[in-house]
Amino acid sequence: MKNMNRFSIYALLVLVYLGMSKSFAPAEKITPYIKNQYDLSKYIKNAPVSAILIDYFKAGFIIKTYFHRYKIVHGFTQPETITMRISKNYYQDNILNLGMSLFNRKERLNEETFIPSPPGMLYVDDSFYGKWTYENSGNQIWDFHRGYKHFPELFGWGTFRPTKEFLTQLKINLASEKPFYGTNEEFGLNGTISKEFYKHNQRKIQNIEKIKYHLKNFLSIPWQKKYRPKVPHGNTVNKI
Amino acid sequence: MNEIFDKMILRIVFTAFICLTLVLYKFAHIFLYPSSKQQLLKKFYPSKNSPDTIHLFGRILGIGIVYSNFYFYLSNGIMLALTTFLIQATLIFIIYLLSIYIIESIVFYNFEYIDEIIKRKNYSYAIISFANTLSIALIVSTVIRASENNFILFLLMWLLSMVILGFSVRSFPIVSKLSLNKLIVQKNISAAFSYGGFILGWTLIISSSLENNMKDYVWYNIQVVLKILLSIIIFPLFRWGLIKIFKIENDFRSDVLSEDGKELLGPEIGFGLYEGAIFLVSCLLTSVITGNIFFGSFYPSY
Repeated sequence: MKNMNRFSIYALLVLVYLGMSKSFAPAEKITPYIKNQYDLSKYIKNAPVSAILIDYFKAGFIIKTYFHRYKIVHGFTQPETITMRISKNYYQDNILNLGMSLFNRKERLNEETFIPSPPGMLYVDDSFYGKWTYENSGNQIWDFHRGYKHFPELFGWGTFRPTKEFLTQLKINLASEKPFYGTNEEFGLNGTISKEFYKHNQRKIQNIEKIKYHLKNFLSIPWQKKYRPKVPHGNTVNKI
Repeated sequence: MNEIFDKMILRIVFTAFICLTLVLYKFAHIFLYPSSKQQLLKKFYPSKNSPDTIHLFGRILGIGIVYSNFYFYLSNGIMLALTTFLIQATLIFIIYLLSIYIIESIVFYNFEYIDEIIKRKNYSYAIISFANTLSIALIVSTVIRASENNFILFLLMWLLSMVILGFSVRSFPIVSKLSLNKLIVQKNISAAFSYGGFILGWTLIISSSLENNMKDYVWYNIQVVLKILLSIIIFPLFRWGLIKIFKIENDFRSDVLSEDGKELLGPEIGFGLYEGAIFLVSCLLTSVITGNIFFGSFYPSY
């Protein structure tokens, strides 16, 4: 009975501690939490706007916290980067969607789409941002106006430019509510273009470098230290 | 060379000045503790009454620890440095003595210095008093460091730490098998060792909890309380772990008799030492868990 009482008091203490910590945890207060793609709409204002998933990672030991980092590309203002805490399901659902646009809001009627699509397609086929031009091969490709020449770089397109066929295929997929990774799988985690833009194994390399640095520092002879190299930092997968 | 000599002279002046403030401390001590008048005003013979020596040197050691956190800033002149030091030292040794008074009122609420030290030469009382003084000195010195030269902040932090220390002292009977009051009466020093380890251990925990960034007072208090709560959660785990790892058997006996079988000796010193050491080690390890884990960007916040 005495042990039972002790255990109850201990459990109560743990609960009080967790409750208090939860109430005052700064991270949980600052970083917004989204359960699924539909919650993005609450945090991303204005139109036209596109949220591109540029990084995802999880933190923690056993009970993980999941994060998404988005590049928010507005039509008329500078792009911004936001990080959000997300649900595990939403994290797992979007593993293949690195570099994809997960949320788009059109200027007209504030129409919103939540189906993963290649980045920047919101601005394609809108004469305000660019025009279709013919290639030597006879294909029509999208060309942004001078004021939006930086957009392909923002979207991580490299030399890629969408064709009319590409747009048609996207529309078909959107109509059937299926993610679209490109006609030849150019975008997403395994996409040929996205892979080039998002160096995915950067984190592993950084961790090895960190261990090497700390070991070297720990075992070095103090009076032979000529310089201290910078500690490798960064907890993100991608640097853009 | 002139400058070097001058610096040396200044250092000697400051040494003399600290000694002068110690004289002030002595009189403040007599004022607050009239019962220790004899101990401080007459010549002291360390070998005459060893418990009294332990008691007195606990206080002297304590004031040394408290003073070790003072600084002299000479950029604005020697007079200002000395005046600032005098004011700070006076206020802080009054607080230090007041802290001893408060804690001893809780621990020794039914004991008197004259009875226990002068008349009965009670080692148990002396060691407990020594441990109390050392704990208070360590806490006051931490508060001085953390309050960043602001007396109001110092007072608020001191109040908070005293409340926590008071609760810790009262919780001793919960964690120890030894009955402190009964064993002090019996002059049994096993309780003193056990209590000493306990109070010093909790002092380390309180000190490490107090050393937080002071940006906002309310936020600071929350952090301190959270760290203390966490320590209360972690401490029993370490205690349990240490006992299990080193296979320590609970052989507590309160009915040990003297060789002639006429006198009840109480528990063995070994048991008190075991309890005190386990308390101290558990608290030291707890302070590592509560204060020395730096999460950095392990849990990123944006």
